[in-house]
Amino acid sequence: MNPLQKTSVAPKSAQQIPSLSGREAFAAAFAVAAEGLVGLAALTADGPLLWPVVLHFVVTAITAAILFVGRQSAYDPTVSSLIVLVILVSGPVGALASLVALAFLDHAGAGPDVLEAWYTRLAGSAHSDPPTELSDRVIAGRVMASKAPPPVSYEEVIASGTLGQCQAALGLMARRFHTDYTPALEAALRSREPVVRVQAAAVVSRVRMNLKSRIKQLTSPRARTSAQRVAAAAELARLSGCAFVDRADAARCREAAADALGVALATSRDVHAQAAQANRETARVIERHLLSNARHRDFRVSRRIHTLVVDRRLRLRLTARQAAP
Amino acid sequence: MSERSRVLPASASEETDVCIIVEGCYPYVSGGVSAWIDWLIRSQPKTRFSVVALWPRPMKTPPRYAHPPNLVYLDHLYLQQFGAAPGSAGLPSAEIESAGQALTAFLTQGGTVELQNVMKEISHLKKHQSLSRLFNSPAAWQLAQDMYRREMPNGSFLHYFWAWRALLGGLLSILEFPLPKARVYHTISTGYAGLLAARARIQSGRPALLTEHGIYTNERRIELLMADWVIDTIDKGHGLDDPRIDLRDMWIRAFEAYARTCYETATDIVSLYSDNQRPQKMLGASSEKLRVIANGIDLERFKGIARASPTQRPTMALVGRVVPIKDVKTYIEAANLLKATVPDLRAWVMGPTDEDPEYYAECRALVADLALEDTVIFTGPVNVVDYLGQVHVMVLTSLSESQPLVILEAGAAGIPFVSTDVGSCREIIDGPPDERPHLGQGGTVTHLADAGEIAAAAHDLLTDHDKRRKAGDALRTRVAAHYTSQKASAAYSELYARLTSAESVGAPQLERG
Repeated sequence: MNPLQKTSVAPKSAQQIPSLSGREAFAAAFAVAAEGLVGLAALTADGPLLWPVVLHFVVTAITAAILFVGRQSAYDPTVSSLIVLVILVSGPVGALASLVALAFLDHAGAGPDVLEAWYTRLAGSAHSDPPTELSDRVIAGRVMASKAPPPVSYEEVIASGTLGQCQAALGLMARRFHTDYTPALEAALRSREPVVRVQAAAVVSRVRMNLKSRIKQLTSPRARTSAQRVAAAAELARLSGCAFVDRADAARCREAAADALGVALATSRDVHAQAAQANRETARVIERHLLSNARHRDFRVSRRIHTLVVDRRLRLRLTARQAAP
Repeated sequence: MSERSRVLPASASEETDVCIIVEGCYPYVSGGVSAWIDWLIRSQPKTRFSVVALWPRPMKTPPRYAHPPNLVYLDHLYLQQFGAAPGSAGLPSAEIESAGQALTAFLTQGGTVELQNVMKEISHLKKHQSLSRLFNSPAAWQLAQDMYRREMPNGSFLHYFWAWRALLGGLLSILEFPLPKARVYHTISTGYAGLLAARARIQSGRPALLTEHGIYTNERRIELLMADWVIDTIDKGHGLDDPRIDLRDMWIRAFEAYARTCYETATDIVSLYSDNQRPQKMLGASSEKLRVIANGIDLERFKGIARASPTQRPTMALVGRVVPIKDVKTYIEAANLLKATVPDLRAWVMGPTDEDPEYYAECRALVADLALEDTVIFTGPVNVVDYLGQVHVMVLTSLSESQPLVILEAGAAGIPFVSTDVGSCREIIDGPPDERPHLGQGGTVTHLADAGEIAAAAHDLLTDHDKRRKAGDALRTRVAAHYTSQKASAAYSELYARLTSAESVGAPQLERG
């Protein structure tokens, strides 16, 4: 099986000749008529054969003009060139053969746009729509295995996993670090297995660097909506408590989080709006900020709104479950 | 095709005693393994050396080392320059299948027999066309498809293809390289260099010696597991045991296969410390081939250094570049903790600060933030010998090391050491497992990135003068017993003499393990 067929299915008409416009048919019909007349003239006239030959060239030139003049630069000249050549060589017979051949060609073939979209998808330079992408991945066996065992706690893996599992877990921690992985990574640094310690040290080194640039990104002054400010503040608050963020950066995180919240929650109305959208982690950050600024009334409102939202979601979920057959 | 450049007067057909095969360092990078190779060649003046330097492509920088008089031949093998102009060769499908089978077996498992099979298949293919032309021909495309179906059927073919080209290009350039003649082939790592040594062993029957400073396969594995440039084409979620092979697995398996082949074919396998033998054994190195030859230092340089007296300002020092891998920030945090109990503390950081200016600036900012300007002092690059007489305790907070010379230098000067548990630090400070009689603790080994533990260990040695003296004595005795350059040089002389003797150089007897 061709491996390319696994990754992408070609459009059905991709192997057919690109669609033809009516010009080719018109040019061929013209050539049949004109060449027919020239042929008749040559057969019936008594004079020299020079004039029919000249006329044949004139007809061929007119056919070529019909086919080529005013075409766009992306036009595929293959079929038109063939028609002209056949007429030039075979005169009226060639013209007739072109007309017959054109009738057999599929005029509904894929257009250049369809082909281009297919090529770019194959080349990976264009995004295909999510259902197609998912279907391709399912066919190729690249989606998450549904029968795989549930993920294990990384701390458990580091404590009692095989060397291969520890290394794979550390690789994942490095590539998709979350502050919740900190205890597992600290345990890996203390592992009795030197290979694990060495890898954990490399991961820590990279995580530190990545956290630093993330903090820089989150604390850089740029226009943000209130919701973005609150989300950034929640992330900064989380990062400030991470063991792999150094002291100066942690202080910067706390300061920037307080500033962002100060701007995003300046009025009670802001508090209402943000509390309604907040997830649990963000809600806690909002509440801590309100308490530390002695905005007790806003704190109570925020908590109530958040509880209501969570409760409503819960109710919706319950209703949906009950409604399910 | 690899470009050749003969730098020195001898030719490839002229036999040398030892051919050193080295990847990505000597003679164009200074320090580390390059410095060691320079030392090794100079420490064996009666041995004639040749060097094959492996690089991805030709180096634009001049060599950093002057050629020692006994280095008679230097050649280059460029791994990423394989392939001639595209050819139109096709091959019978039976040959493609057979080559695909042999190559897949080798790239996924490795081993002497597998490498021999690949060499056999390659020589068959060469009958149709030169390898470099074949590499850019329809036959190669067919081979890629065949190997994809065998090796990574679930992954993305597009990504597989480019990875396959990189892997196969490297492998073929190793197999095509004209081998210089030598009595012994000495590779300084596994990987591509190890592969060339394995081929030399199979082809010439001459002994192949491997010296590993770090564990190449581990380094590559860590690099590949963390790499963002390797795309995950299969969604494995957080699963750790998914059997589907993706690009990352493919690369790791190939490097492990190369290492396994090198361990199997090598006559002797040398590491710098015994901890490194475990991963070697895990990849099939047999115990009887393994031995440790530690790096050493010249004790004479440290002979006249008096130890810092208890009345001098309490001083600890970290010798190393100011870069993240040395974790200088943990050292500064430790100094901060220590200052609470040793108010007059001086903490030197001795080493270049220009390699990572941003990190250096952060360290300076941390020092300012903790108000340690009078305590933590960055000296820049200095002659360490001039400072050792004022240092009570040496500290190393590195996240990664192999066998740091700075511990040996401190030991030679009788200064105890506090170090993180990396590389051979524990073996040098606590003593090798087979040390009889045990010479005592030369300091303390701590966990990584633990400022509190490092501060506590340094505090003990700074304040307990008797303990400090005893630890300094133990380290000095151990360094003198195990870690001198004379000892290391003698060990290699003996090894080369054995390997170049008539029996070793005779007919090869290659067995698995």
